[in-house]
Amino acid sequence: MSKLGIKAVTNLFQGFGALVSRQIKDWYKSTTLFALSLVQPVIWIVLYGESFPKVALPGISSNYFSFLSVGMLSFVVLFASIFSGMAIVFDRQSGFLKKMLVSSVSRGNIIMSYVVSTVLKALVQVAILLIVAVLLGMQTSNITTVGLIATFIAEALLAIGLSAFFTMIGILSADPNVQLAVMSFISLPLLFASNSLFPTSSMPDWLQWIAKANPLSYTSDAARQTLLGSSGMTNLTFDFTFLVIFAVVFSSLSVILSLKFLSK
Amino acid sequence: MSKNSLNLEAFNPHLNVNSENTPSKPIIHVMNLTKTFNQEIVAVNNISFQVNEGEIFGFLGPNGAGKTTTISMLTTLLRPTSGTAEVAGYDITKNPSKVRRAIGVVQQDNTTDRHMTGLENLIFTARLQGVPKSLAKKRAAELLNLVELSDAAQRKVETYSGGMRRRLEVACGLMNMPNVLFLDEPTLGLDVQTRTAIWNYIKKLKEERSMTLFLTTHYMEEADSLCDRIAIIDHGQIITYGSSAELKSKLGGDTIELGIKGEEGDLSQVISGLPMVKKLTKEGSVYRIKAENGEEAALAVLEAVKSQGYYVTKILVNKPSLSEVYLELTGRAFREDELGKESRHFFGRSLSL
Repeated sequence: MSKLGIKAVTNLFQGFGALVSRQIKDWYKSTTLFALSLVQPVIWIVLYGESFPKVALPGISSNYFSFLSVGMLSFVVLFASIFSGMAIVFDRQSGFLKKMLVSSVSRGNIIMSYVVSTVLKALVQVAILLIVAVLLGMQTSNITTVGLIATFIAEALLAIGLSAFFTMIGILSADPNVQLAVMSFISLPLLFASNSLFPTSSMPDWLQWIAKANPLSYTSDAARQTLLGSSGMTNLTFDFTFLVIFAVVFSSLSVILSLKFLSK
Repeated sequence: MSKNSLNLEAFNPHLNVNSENTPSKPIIHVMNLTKTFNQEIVAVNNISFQVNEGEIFGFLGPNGAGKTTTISMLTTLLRPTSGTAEVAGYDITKNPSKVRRAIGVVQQDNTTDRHMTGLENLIFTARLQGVPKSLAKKRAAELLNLVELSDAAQRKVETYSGGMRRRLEVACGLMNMPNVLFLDEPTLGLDVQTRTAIWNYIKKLKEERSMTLFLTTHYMEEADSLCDRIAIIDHGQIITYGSSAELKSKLGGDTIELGIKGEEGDLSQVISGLPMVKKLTKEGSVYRIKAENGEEAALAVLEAVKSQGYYVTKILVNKPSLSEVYLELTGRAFREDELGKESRHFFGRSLSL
């Protein structure tokens, strides 16, 4: 009986592991790509951390560098997700997508493999950024293991939702140039219309509304509360609920879209 | 068979073509399959046919005929606009995932990963297809042997020649031991040796593993020598189908092409009056004569022409061939190297998945 149960489960995830490991291998086997991915968060935190004035802004209980560092974690996730949105486009162009589509791997698994491999890549970059930030003077007095885990969960949820979103754009775009343009168009506004760089309390009202609908805000908020112990925009429960809904809704949308659009 | 299979004879009375009189199970039923792009371009226009289990079936047509579109629908990459098909017992529109489990596909484009080795590609395909690890290694070795890539298995695919890569594609398509293997223009652009090798693998698969093979091609020779039965498709419609021998026999014999010096005279009466001549058409100054035995008839025709005082400028005896069949049915010559603008359009279509 249990043997059948296990077989049913393995069938559900058939091919998933192979697809994810292929994406990850492609990433770390390309030394240039991998090195850039690792160095990028380091450069960002040094550059932004040193260039933005280290002033005590109203609404921040910790120093600004710590505030910013945690906000940059979302930034890293955002950019990792954008980059991976291109993966499906490259696979379509190389003919690899077709190979997957005629195999017996389910459409859902194909899409989620792009999402999960992005999440893994993003989390590696988050870890590196965090380590460098700490080395550069981020406040560590309030860090606990639970807090760290919670932060990673929050970043992972953000990564799931964002990469599902960008993968969807990849499925729908006929033209990779258009896709790149759309993603570039969205990314910086998404970053600035959140509390990743500045607290929402210091924003004009209209911007606050946008920031409060932005998943990056909730991620940064949750991470700041768990890592820095600072009081936040909203409470932790609300943050995580928002993020879970965001991740689930966008993943589901991407799977549904893949069923509709991958076989025209 | 599946509960949803329809009585094909009732649908299309002219489809009872069977090469031998042995009962054979249709493993592919295509029923009024149509695919329209953008509500304008009808790539595949209401086609219906059957493929019997264990046979090599060829879909022959010039570029742009609708072959790739058809095979894309049968392999569930594209959804039909109307009509449907049953492949290996499952409906392509209702149960596409079950169809995918039962089939193998060797596509026109290269789908193997250049950065992996030949063996890694096969093992990867095995993981994709849900072949258990222990079995995967064994099968990979067998398949590499079949396509004669055992020596190159540990090399990266980017070092492979075009022919080697195609052979690897064939091996990958077989990893899940499908009931039906679809091959889209398998020898397109390949050198003679690789082409012959691939033909041999195809024959082996049929004979040793009783596999059903469905291939599309625009090479007449490939269809003629390799396939048990052929369907000729053009402009999205099936012009005729049956075994090569049957199609050729419908021509009713050999064709003699006769050129006469001087446009003025019309020897039609004289030539068609000859007992061996079955049919005669005249195109300009060329006479096309149908006769049971071309060689004998040619001699008689020559005599007749000479006796009338005319000179023969050329005489050609053509044995029945598929190009003749195509010419008869469409009035056009089948040009194997033709790459019409329609095909570019469809090529782009099938890539924009």
